[in-house]
Amino acid sequence: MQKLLYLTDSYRKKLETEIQKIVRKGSVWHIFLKDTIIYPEGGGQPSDLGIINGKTGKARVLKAIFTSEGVLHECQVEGVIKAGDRVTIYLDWKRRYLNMRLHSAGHILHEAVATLFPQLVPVSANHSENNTLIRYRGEIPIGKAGEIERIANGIVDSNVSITSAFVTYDQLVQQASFVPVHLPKNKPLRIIQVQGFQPIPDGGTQVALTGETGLISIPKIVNHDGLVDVYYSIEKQTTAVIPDILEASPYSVSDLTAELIQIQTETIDQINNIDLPDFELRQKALGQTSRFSNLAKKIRDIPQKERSQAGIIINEVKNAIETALSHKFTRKHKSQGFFDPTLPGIKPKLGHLHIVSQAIEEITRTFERIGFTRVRHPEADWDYYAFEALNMPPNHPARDEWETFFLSYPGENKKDLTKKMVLTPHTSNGQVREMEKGIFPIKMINIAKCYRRQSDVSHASMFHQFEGLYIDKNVSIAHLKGVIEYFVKSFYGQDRQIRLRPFHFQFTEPSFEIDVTCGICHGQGVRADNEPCRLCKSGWLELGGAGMTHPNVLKAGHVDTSIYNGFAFGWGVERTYMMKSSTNLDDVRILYQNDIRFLEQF
Amino acid sequence: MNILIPDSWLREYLETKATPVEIMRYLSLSGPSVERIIDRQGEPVYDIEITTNRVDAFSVSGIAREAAVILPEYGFPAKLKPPSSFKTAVSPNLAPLSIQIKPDDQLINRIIAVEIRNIQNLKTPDWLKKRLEMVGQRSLNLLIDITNYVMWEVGHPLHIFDLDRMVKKKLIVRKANKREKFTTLDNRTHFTNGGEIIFDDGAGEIIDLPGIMGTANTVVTNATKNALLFSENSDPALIRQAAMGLSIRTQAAAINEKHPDPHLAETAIQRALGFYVKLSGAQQASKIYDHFLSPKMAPEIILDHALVEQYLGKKLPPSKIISVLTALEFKVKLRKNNQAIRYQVIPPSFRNDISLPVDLVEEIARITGYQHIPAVLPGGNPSVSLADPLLQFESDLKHRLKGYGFTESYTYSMISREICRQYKLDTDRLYKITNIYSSAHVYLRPILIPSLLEVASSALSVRPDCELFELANIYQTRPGNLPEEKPWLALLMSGDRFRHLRGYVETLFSQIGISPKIFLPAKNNSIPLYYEANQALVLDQFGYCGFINNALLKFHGISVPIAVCELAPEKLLALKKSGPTYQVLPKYPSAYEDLALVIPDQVFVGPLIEKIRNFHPLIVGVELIDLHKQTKTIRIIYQAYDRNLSATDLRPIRESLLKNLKKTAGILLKTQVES
Repeated sequence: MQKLLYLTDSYRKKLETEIQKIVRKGSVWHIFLKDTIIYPEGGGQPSDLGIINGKTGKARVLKAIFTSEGVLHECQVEGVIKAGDRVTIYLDWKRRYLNMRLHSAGHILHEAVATLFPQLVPVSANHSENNTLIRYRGEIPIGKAGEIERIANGIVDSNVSITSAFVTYDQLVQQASFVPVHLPKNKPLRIIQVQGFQPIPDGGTQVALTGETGLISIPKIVNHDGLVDVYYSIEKQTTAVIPDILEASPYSVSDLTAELIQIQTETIDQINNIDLPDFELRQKALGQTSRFSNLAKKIRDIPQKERSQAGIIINEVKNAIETALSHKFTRKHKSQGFFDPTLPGIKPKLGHLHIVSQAIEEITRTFERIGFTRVRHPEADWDYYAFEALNMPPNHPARDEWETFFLSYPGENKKDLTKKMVLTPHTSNGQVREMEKGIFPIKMINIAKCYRRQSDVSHASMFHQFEGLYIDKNVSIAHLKGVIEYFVKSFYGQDRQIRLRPFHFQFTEPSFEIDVTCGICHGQGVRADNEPCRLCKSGWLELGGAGMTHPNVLKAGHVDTSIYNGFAFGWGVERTYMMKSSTNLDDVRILYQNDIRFLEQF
Repeated sequence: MNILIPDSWLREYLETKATPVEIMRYLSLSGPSVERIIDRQGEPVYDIEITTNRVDAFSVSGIAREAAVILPEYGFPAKLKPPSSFKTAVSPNLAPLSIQIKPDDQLINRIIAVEIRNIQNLKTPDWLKKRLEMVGQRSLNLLIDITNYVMWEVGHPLHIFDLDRMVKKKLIVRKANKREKFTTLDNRTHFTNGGEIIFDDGAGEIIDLPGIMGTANTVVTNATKNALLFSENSDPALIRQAAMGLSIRTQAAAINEKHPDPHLAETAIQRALGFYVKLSGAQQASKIYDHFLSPKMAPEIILDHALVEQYLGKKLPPSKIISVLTALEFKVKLRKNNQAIRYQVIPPSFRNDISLPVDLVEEIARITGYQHIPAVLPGGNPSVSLADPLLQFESDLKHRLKGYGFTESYTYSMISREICRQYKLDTDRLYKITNIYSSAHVYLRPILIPSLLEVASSALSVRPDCELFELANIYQTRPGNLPEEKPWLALLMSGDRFRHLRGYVETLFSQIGISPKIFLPAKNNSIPLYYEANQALVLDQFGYCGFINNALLKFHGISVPIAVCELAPEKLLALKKSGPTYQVLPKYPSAYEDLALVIPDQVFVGPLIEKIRNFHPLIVGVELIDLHKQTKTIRIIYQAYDRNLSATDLRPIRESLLKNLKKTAGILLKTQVES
C-alpha cells in the first residue's frame, strides 16, 4: 500500500520512490507511485504540483487525485518513464506552502467560530486561494466578523503547534469535537489538533505552528438558505520561522499508528479474500514473520514515554485482526459464494441419561403426584426382610418363585440361620422395614435394584423394581385399583388396557397380577411379520404383582391390624417402561450391556 | 408352576358350552391364569399357571372344579361331573397286604396301598399315550403311565412297586441317616443328606424315596407280574427338603411339597386300580390298606361381613357371599348378631390355603370379579414421610452430568473374580454370591471403576472417545452385617483430558455451591491402587480424580489414557448450598491484567493461583488463560466496590505480588527472564 507521506510530514519536499504503474491516457500519463508526497485534491485543499524525475525521463505533475488504487498523478511526460523506475519527486513547495497555510488558517478560523458559535456544524470548506471559505449549517448574526477575526488572530499570535496523528475510528469518536458521518471505520483516520483545542479529523497538509499562517482576515460573512459562509484570507507573506520538522521528528506513535492501521486494513482484506487453511491464514496474518509482527517490533524505535500508548494501539490492531480471523473461520463456508443451507448442522455434544434413570424419574414423579414418597431400602438384605417377614418361613415353597441369589459375607456365622443374607429378588423387603419406622399412614415408593438368577429376553439377572406400599385405616381393593389405574393411565395413556388376575403372593391377601396390553405386538400376541411376539404371552404383559398386605406381614412390621391395613405392589421398572409403545425394546438384557450406541439413543 | 390341561380331558369333568377361548379368558380373570392355548395334534391344550398355594387346582379335576364355579359368574352354565367310573366288584374275601408296612405318623399322614396280581398287558393304549404326550409326559409302560395319568387327573401322586422285587416283604417308614446310598429309577445314584423320608426294606436297604421318586431296586419292569399300588401323604416340608437337598425335581415332589389333600390319595388309588384292572388285565389281590392319621379338622373361620365390604369397597348382599363360598364347597353358616353379620366358614379339605378371614375375602372378590370393584384413589391423611434429599440430589447430579455431555451407564452390581484379582481386591472382605449364575457376577462390587472401564472399553471400539458416568451403589464391608450400600458417582473421560475432567468437576462443585478447591496431588498410599499414583488427586473427603494406571488399561484392552473421577454424593450433599446466593453487582468496572509468569518445574499452578487469589482483597479472580512450556499466563481480575480502579491502585499490588512470587517460588515475569 502506498504511503502518503504528506500526511505524516507536511514539510517533505523531496522523495525517492518507484513507479508502480504508468498508463497513457490521451495526451497525459497516469502515474502511480510506490509512495508519494504529492497531495491530491480533496478536503477543500487543491492538488499539489511537482516534478517526477527518473533516469530516462521526467514527468510534470499537472494534478493529483485520489482513486481506489491510491494517488493518481496526472502528468506530462518527457523521455521514457516506465513501471519499476526509481524516481525522485520534487514538490512545488511554494504552492504547497500557500495551500498549507490557507488550510491551517481555515482550522484556526474554525476554532474561533466554534468558540463563539458552538452550535454551528461545519458542512464544507474551500481552502484554495480564491473564494476561500468555510460553510456552516446555521447562522451568524451580522457584525460578528471582527470578533471572530480577533479570536482567530489570537491563536495565530500565540504561535501554538498544530499536530497530526493517526487514530482508529473508535479513538476518533472519543477525542474529536466533531465526527463527520461518512468516515470509514476500517481505514486509518488522521486527526489534527490545534494546541489547546480538540482534535478534528482531517486529511490535508498543515503547518506546524499557527504563526505560519499569518494574520487572518474575514472580508465577509454570508447567511443564505440556512447556511452561513465565512470567507477568509491570509497575509501574503509571514515573518514566522518555518520549523525544520524533518530533522526534529523521530519515529513517533503517530507514524506507527498510521502504518499499523494500514497493515490492519490490508491484512483484514487479505483475510477476507484469500482462501487458505485456517492455520496458514493465521500465520500469514499474525505469525512471527507477518507484516504485523515485523511492524510491532518497531515499538523499540518509539520514544520511551510513548511506548505504552504504542502498545495499546498494537494490541487493538491485533485484536481487530483476531476478530476478522475468527469471523472468517466461522463464516468460511458461507463466504465461498454458494451458500448451502442443506449442509448438516453442527451438533452440540449431548449427554444421555440411561433409560432406567428416566424411567425411575418418571415413575417417581407420577406417584409423587398422588402423595407417594420415594424411599430407599437395602439391596442386600437379611433373609428375614426378603422372605420371613413377608410370610415366607424358611424352606417355604413360595420362595422358589424368586430365583434368589444368596450371599456369604465377611464375619458370617454360618450356624446362625437368622443371619442369612440375600440379594433382594424384589423390593418388598422395604415393606416391613418401612412399617418398622412406625409412622402412619405410609405412602411409599421404594425403587431399587433387584437380582435374580435368570436371563432371557424379558429377564436380566439385575433389574429394578418399584414397590408401592399404602398403609392406612380402612384401605380397600378399590383403593389399590384406583392407584393402579391412575398410574397406568398416567404412564401409558389410553390405548393400553389393564386387567387384574387373581394370583398368590405370600405377603398379600388377596393378591393379583396386573396385566397391561403388550406394546410390541399391541395386544395381538404376534408381531407385524406374523412371528409370535417374543416379549409377551397372548398379547398381555404382566406388569407385576399387587395385593392387600397380608396380616402376618403387618404383624411382622408391628402394625396394629385392628386399626390399619393396606396394599402393596411391586413392579419391574424396565418392564414397565418397555411397555411404553415408543420404546419398542424387545430384549431387556440390552439395558445392562451398556453399548454406547444404545445408551446414546435415549 | 404351570400345568397343561387338554380341553377334551377337562370336559370329561366339566359340562359347559363355553369355548376354549372363553374358558381361558374367564378362568384367568377369576381363577388360575390360563397363559395361552396350545394346539396339540389339533386339540386345544390350556397352559395354566397354578400358584403355589393352590395345589388343589394342579390337576384336570381341580381345574374343572374352579371352572364350574367361575364360568356361571360370566353367564356360562357349567357343571362338575364325575368321570365314567371303572369301579369293579371287589371280593369281600381279599387278604390283607402281603407286605408288612411300618408307618411313622410323624413323617407320613396317610398311607394307602393295594396289591394287584396277574398283570397281563403292559402296553399302553393309544388314547392314554396321546393324553400323556399332550401334557408333556413320556409314555414308559402301562404300569407307570397309569400312575402319571391319575396324578394328572386327580392331583395326588402315587407309586407302583414290583411286588415280587420287594423280597424282604417289609416296608419300614423312617428318616434317612447321612450318606445312605440308593439308586433312583432313572439309574442315578444318590447319597442321603440325612432326614429324608425313605422306605426301608427291613434290612437297611432303601426301596423308595416316597413322594419324590421310586428306586431302581423296586421299580416295575416289563417283566412285572404283580405290583403294589401305593400312595402316601407326607410332611410337605420334609418332601421339599429332600427334593431340594438331593436336587431331584419331579412332578410328584412339586405336588407333595405343597401338601395335597390326603383325601385325594384314596381317590387316586381307586381311580388307578380301576385302570389297572381294566387295561392290564390284573386283579385286585388284597384289601386296601389305609393308615390314615385322623386328619386335622379344618379350622372354622369367622368372617365379618363388614370386612368383605371394606376390602371390596362396595356393598355385597350376604346371599351372594354364601352362594360363592358354597359353590367353592365351603361350609357356611350365617350368624347375625345385633347389627353385625358374620359367617362361620369351614373350608373343604382340599383348600388348605384358606385359614384367615382375608383368605375368604379373596375367594369372594375373585369369584364376584375384580372388574366389578370400583377404582378409587385413597384419601386420608397426607403421608408424613419426607422426600429423601439424597435421592433428589442424585437425580440432580445425573441431570447436570448429562448437561455436561456425559452418558450414563447402568452396570451390574457384581464383579468377577478376575476383576478382583486385577484390582487387588481382598475377596475375603467382599460379599460373595454363593449360588452364582455367571462367572462375571460373583462379588458385590466395592468400587465402581472396573464396571465403568468395561463400558469405556466397549465404547472405544466404536467411538473415538467417550465421556461416561455412573451413579450406583458400592458395597462396603461391615463384618457380620449387611454391606453399607453407598451411592457413588464415577465419571470417565477417554484421552489425555485430565484438565477437561477436572474442569467438569470444578464446574460441578461451583454449581452446587461448594467453594472452589485446589486439591493436592495424591500421596501414594492415599489413593486407590487403580490410579496412576503420581497422576491423581485426592478430592478431600469427596473422592478422587486421576488417570487409571496402565496395567489396568491394558487389562481392559484400552489403548488411550483414561481419566476418571469418583465422588461420594452424600459428601457433596452435606456441603451443598440450598441455592445460589445473590451477589451485589459491582457499580464500578473491574480491571484486569495478564501476567506471563515463568514457573519452575515441580511448582503446582493450582495452589499458586489460589495464593494469588488470596493475595490482596482487591483481587477477585485469577484465571489461567494460556500456558506454553514453563510460561503460564495468568489473568488477575481486580475489583473495588466503591470506586474505579486506576493504574496507581494496581501497581503496588502487582509489584508486591511479583516480589513475593520471586522470593517464595522463584517465579519471574517472562519479560524479566528475557531481559
